[in-house]
Amino acid sequence: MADSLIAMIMGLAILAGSLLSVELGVSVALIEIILGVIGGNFLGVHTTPWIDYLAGFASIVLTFLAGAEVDVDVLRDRFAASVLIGGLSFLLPLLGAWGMALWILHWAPEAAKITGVALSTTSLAVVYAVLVETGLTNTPIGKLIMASTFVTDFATAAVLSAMFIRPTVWIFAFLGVSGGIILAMPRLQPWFFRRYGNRVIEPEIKGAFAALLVLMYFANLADSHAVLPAFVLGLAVSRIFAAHRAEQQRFRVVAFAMLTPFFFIKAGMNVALGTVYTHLGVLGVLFAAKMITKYVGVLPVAHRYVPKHAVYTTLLMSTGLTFGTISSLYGLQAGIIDRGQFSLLITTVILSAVIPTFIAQRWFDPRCVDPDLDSGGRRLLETSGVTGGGK
Amino acid sequence: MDQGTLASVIRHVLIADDGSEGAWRAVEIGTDLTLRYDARATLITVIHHPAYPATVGEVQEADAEQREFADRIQHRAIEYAKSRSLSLNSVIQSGHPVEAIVDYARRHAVDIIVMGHLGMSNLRRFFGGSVSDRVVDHAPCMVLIVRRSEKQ
Repeated sequence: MADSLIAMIMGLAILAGSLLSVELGVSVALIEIILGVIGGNFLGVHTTPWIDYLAGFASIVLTFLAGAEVDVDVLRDRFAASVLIGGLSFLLPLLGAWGMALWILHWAPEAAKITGVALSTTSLAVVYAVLVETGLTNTPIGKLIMASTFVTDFATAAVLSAMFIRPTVWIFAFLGVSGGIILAMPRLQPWFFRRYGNRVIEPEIKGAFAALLVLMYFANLADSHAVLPAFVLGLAVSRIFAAHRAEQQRFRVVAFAMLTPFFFIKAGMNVALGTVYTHLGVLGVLFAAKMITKYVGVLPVAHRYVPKHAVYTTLLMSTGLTFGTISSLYGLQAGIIDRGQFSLLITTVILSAVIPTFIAQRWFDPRCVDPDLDSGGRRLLETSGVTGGGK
Repeated sequence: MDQGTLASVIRHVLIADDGSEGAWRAVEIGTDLTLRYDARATLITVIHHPAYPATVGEVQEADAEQREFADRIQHRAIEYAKSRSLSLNSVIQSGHPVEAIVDYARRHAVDIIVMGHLGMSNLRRFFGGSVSDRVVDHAPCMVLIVRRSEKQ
């Protein structure tokens, strides 16, 4: 299939994805993955080097956004509890899913490692959407869950970067450049925004993209991925981002219009539906591995900090989407997992976005469990037993 | 049921407004009902966020857009009611429209829900079913479904 034809199909798919997202009320990312699955399995659309590069850049942009969306104050206020919940929410599934893939599914050691990382993630965006929908974002339990998710995300980004590194001299260049950009950008940005901001040619957005492209280049030299520095860079500029809503919105507009669709559609295109259908048992094992290890890791500590909402907290910490997709796609690109394994991992990641949120909202909604709700059911009172989350 | 009986039954009217043409008819009819039975009325608009988003920003921006839209359509309905000497209490709820409307009706002793027959999205109705049908199934009170007028 010619590049121009693929570009046209991608353009139409991206437009269709946006329209369907608005009409159905489902996130554009999920729709794009589904459109990718249709394109890859039924229309013969395949990925190309330029799609691969755009998708790779989009994954770094998504990671940067995940870091920039961290509310540093929320994290600081609930540091001990969130490190414990978020850390165990990462560690147990990492080890559990890794071991399960290695010893039960008999996957290769490197493929098992990717499985561990992909299934250890928690989706901050999915968690946030549920909390907003139930009006719990600014409640103690909402803040604790979000802070814990930041910790899980950070751990995922760190392990994902570390696991691809090869011991060459370029590691030092990668670390040096990453450190330099992370230190310099938050200091330079206020001046940069004052001097060059609010122009139609968008130097602020180009500056952020340039920084991420530099990180990607040096990560590539070190045989790694720029996931961790991109996340930490996002974290470092999160306050500046929060103070410049218009720039933040324009950055997202560019990312959602031109970059992230390629990432999610590419992920969908690589899903082999036939493999998923013929390996439903393996899919069940992978899904069970994620859910059980999340339960074992999170539930006991959640009981300690949020006794009335421990199951709800555990279910939300069991969700995954963006980082799970990024990890799986990196594994596929590096040849660590094959298309069949990738298909099963992505399907598990999507199921983990849908099923735990459904169960949490349907049967463990804190507004129903806890009688201390205001009249509209919008706000959980401070007297609900959540007392600062281990401050 | 005669008018006297209805007057004793209808004390709190809940008008659901999603900005569609049918919902506007519901605002008109709901206002009529409230005035006729000397009841009080609440206007409810439900905002829904994209499920399973990839970034927090996607939710934040959808939330801001929908709240602005809800404010705008509620302002229009409140002004209309005011022009007919009726004061509307207004609420914006987030969540699934059926659950939010039914939940509000349960919590606030609503006697009748007035809502449009067709909402904003045909595609969502195709996949998720009709909101009005499901409100009828689950509501704890009477439900009046208003069709768009022929002229509209």
